[in-house]
Amino acid sequence: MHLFYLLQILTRVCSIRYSVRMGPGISRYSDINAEPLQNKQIYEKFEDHTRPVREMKVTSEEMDRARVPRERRDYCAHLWLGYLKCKREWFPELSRCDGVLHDYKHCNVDDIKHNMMEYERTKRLMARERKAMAESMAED
Amino acid sequence: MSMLRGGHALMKRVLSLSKPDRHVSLSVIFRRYGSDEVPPNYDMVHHDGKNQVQPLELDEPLTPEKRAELAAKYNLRPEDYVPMNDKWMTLGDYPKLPEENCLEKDPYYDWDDPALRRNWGEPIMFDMDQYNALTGVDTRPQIFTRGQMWKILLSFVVPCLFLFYLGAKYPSFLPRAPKQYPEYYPGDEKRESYNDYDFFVKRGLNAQYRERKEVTNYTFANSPWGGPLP
Repeated sequence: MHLFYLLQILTRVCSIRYSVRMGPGISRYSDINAEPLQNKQIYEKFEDHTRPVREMKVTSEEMDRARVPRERRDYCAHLWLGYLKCKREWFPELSRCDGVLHDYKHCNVDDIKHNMMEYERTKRLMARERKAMAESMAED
Repeated sequence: MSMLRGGHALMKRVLSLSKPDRHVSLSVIFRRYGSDEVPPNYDMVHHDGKNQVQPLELDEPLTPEKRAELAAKYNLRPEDYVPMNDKWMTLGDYPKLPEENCLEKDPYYDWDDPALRRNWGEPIMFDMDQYNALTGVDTRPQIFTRGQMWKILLSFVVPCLFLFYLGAKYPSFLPRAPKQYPEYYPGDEKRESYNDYDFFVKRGLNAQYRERKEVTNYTFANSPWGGPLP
């Protein structure tokens, strides 16, 4: 049990992310019903299929062969596999792989930015919907 | 430099050490570097027979005469003499001296050997190397005792680790949508469930939870905000 929490601390240092989302930084909401938080149903409701698809540069089979763990099977996996390959080539001179790791970390940061933009987009669409509902109720 | 000037005479004296019939002591060679005149045979010590360490029976009580005799042998007072007989390894009549480092002795006294803080003829501890000024453990009293030091250390470290634990459990960041993966595993939801107590089920190791499905996600490329990823 305690190893689980220790693992959380270590993995935060090593730039690995989880599938579990912890609470956001807002402790007091102006209106908690206006926040989508982690509800997947809300995100699926406002999904826009006309947007371009997010492409994977590595197939599932390749990730299986490399035995990539669940946490790293995301849209930055191609860079992670590149880092593993570099490590395998250059061990023990691992400082040569710092450039590859730098790109992977930037990809992770971009992924976080993408998730933040998704959150804000969903929140704005919810607000628009509630406003439309309120106007239609006021008309009646 | 003066050593090189007197090199020939020095060499003769050093080489003469290897000749056993000529009696030379080190004090003769280094006499010019010492301010005190050491007595003859200062470092030529020869013990034999009764002067060496003798075995001492554990069962026999120590009579006052025997005690005085052994104390004189080791240059101790009879009331100070305690043989090392109660150790797991008896050392005969060798005396038990207080287990204090040389550094605890007075530094301003004119010892014969100031480095080890010892006078000539003083008995040497059996564990001398452990309580030596140069190689031994420092037993001088410190500001804090061991118990106090542990308390001070833990009273800082334990709250610090507790705060790390809280920081890991309740992190604070700006709100973001759940992370997007290209594959969907039903076992992910099982892992975070609180209703399952069976670890096999909770870890999602059943076959039905291991089948994965593909998921399509979308980007912000065409939006007015642009997107970090293409």
